Amino acid sequence: MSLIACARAIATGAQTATAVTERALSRIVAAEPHLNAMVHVDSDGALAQAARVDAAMAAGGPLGPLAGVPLTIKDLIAVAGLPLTAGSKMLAGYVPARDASVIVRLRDAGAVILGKTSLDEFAMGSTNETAVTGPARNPWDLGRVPGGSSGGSAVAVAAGYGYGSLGTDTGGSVRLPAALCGLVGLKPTYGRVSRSGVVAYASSFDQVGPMATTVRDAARLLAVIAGPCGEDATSRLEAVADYEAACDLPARGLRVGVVRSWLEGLTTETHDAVLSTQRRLEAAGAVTVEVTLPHAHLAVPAYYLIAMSEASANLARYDGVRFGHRAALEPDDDLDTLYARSRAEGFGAEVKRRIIMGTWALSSGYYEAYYDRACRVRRLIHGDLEAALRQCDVILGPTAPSTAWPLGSHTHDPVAAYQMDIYTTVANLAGLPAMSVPVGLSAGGLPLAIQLMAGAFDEATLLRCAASVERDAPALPSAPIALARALSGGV
Amino acid sequence: MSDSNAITAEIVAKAARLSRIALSEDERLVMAEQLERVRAWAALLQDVPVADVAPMLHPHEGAMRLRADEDTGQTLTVSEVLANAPAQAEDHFLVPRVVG
Amino acid sequence: MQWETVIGLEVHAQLRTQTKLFGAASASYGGAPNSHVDAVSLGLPGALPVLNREAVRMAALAGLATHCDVQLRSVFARKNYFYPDLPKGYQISQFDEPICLGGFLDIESDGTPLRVGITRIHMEEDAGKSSHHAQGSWVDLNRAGVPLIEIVSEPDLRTPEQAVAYLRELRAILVYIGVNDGNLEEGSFRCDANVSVRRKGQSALGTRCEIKNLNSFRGIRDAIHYETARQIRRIEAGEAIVQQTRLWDVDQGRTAAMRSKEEAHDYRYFPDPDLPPLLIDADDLKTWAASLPELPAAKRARFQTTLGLDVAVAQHLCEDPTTADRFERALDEDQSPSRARSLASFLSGRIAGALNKSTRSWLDLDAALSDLAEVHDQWRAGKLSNKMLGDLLAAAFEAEDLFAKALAQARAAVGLLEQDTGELDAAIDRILAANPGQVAAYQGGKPKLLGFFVGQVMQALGGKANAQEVNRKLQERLGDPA
Repeated sequence: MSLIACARAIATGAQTATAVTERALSRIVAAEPHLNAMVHVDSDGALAQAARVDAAMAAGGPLGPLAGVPLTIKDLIAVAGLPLTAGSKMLAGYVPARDASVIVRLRDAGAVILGKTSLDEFAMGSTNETAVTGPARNPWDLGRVPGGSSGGSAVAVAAGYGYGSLGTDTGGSVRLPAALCGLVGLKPTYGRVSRSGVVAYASSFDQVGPMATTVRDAARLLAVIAGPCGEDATSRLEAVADYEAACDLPARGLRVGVVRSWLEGLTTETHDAVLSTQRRLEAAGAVTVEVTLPHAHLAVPAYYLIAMSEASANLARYDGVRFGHRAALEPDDDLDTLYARSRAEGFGAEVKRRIIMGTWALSSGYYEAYYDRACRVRRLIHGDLEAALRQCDVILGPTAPSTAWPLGSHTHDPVAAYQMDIYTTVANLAGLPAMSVPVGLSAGGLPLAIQLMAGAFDEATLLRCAASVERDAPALPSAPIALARALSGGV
Repeated sequence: MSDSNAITAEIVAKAARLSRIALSEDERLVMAEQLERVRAWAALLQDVPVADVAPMLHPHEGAMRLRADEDTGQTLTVSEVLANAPAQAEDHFLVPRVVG
Repeated sequence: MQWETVIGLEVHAQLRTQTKLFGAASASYGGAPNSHVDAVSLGLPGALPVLNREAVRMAALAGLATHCDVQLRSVFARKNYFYPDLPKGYQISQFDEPICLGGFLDIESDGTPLRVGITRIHMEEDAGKSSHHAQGSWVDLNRAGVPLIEIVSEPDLRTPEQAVAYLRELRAILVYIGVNDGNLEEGSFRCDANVSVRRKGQSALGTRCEIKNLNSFRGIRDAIHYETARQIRRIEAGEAIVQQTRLWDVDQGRTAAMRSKEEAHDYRYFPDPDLPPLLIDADDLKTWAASLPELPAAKRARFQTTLGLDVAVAQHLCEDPTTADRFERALDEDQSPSRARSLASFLSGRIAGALNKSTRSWLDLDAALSDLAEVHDQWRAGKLSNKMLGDLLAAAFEAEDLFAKALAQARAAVGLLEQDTGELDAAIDRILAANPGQVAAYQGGKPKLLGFFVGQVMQALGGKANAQEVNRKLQERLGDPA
């Protein structure tokens, strides 16, 4: 059942919110031992909210667009009263008093929050393997990564823990796990969705985005969370379009840009997935336009230098003074020892690498050659996309170079791990909306996906094209086979 | 850019001190090796002519949102402020004595 | 050997906003520890800065009042360092694109005018406060995030007296335009001084030291004096000046180097990605410029030229806008120089003196300014004698009622001189008859004796006589001295 169908079932009285929520909770109980996607489950809170929706329904009151729909939330986003760990030992035991702005909007829409999902520590990773709670498992193959950093959210939605999830996307962290787990994942235009209450990784890239099983589900979630917010100075006033209506528009007449250089370096199946999507869009009346992104090969290093630099400052607040982990001190230990040991103990290896590299890139003698230069290259990439999007309405390409890879593949080679973001980071550098859409399974039974990108604040066109891709692509099985097998006692 | 920028264990030590992250000598060596690999890879950017390109610091041009100078009820109670504090003394955060 | 001191000043002034620069907690001074803290000033995960519009207006106003170019585009950066009173691990501050550039301030020191360049004014957030105790340091974040402007002068000052004159003028301007309360003790107006010395005639600057912890005008003057002497002593002894930060120790009357850090700071400034550029609307700027009140220099000039006040009096009245405003409200319509001078000394002499001895404040007097002016006018016209005025003011200031009411009652009780010519003439007759020797002496060429006769007559009338009238009549009766 899709999120939209679930909302309709509750709104028409065909199902109660309580029954839907109980089903989602029991699914979590059954599958979590295999998947490790949740860091906190709030059964009581979820059931209480479901009961409120059922009461409102019984009273004939107006229901919000997500009334009674169970969702999960990446544990980088503050939910009042629930632990907020950011996947790190640093924030073990930290409980925020206030909801993030996106959570306020979800609650206003009537959503049921099941709990918090696992992520790479402070969203720094593309595989979910840097999570302090250990990696979540890909439900399509339990030996493979779900992608990251919003890996837990992807696994939760794919495994039927509710009908959607909010992830965050700094360099592909919504789109990559969505692609690897057979879901729709959308990174909105920078400034479309409030970042208030979302633990910052790289502030000029971070955006909250929906993950769901269908394009229309993602459209509804986006419509709920999008819009201006007074608590985020980068939030923007552009009007929020009717995203669900956009899903009904045909692809006829859309100009679809294809970047030839992006078809190199892909596995054959991923390559073919992009090409067949292009053919199906043409069959639906879209026009293919060849576009070039001359600086796209610089995107990943530029992205990492900027993200690490911003992160080095963003994570300075975790110092063991006001909240978070504090190292046990000897009586004679001084303040710097408190800082250095608390941070050494609280942060994992990848987080430390990125903070130290970011500190270096901003430091005297290196700033011009690294941080500043990366920011200039960022403008070149932005210019490439602006030029391309004058020739076309959306850009079609891969989300990831391949389908899900085995756990532990890149543990010791950061550069190889960073290269997994090669197709996703351009959208973050340019601040543009992008989404990953599933297009069937590989021969090995793993989800295949394509990525679409559109102009700033043109999520409607993005969704319109994605809906067409979804209509014409081979459907995925209703549940991941590997998980079904695991749940029935097999391996 | 030449290898004169190479990340060594000493450079890692300096950045780790600025970052207030304690590293053992072994950790420094491993990290220097890993970060140097990242740096060498990022050196790709050094060949791009960017002298005439302004750094892009925000995805969109235009002004930021401002707020009115009003108390909007965001002030936390003292107990909320200190709720997650690892150590406190008489409504203050407590840290090892700093020589002022 | 002739030495010259070169001084540049960095002033941190707290803007008088209700709330903090980036968060909505109160920006007011004091309060119980950690009671003026919001998620932003606590640096909670996910808390984002949103700039206070009023702080922008105030910073721009400060620039307009000091002849700066207010920048329509400015940028906030992060200054990265770890300290317990710095919650985010960075301070948000304008760095290479500040809100104001290139202004100046005209001052006068020892009667010599001097134009002091203002390099820049930028906005930044204050840090919290650490206090040091036996078991550790305590951190209070009430001040963290309070809006400041930093006003950086060119190294145009040459003497401690010039430095103080500059600071007094700058402080007066900021208070006049309503952006700062001018309070040095509470730290809402703080100053760091960059001091170096060089041989007279030399154009290159010497190595400078930055002096901190200056929290009174006197301290600033003394510290610069001390530091100048210290640097000259060192150079003359063949030692080099080390560029460093030094703290002024008020009790010991000396500066001392701060404990140096193991390594130089590397603040890693970079533009804050949470805050897009600050763009100021040119029309807003015009509106703000038009809203500037009369500034202290203009007011002083007007008080001197049109009201005929002495330099020192004008300076005193104009040091803060409320004093000047009180004077002008009391002055009201009759602005003749003689009345203005008299009223100014009446207010700053008699009234300020009476205030000092009482428990009242100027605020209590505000409702009765025109009444006080009337009392002044009656006294000046001779309708109140000095003694009557003294009695009247003593009664009004001592009473427990509201001042306006107390003053009205005191005026009614004391009354005005009703000149009874017969009584006065009779008294003069008596006194002249009783002192024939003095009368002869006066008429023989000792005009100063007039004062003696006036005193005798006044005493005979119990102080209730119009001194001018007594004077006039006595001169009439005694005739011109030979």
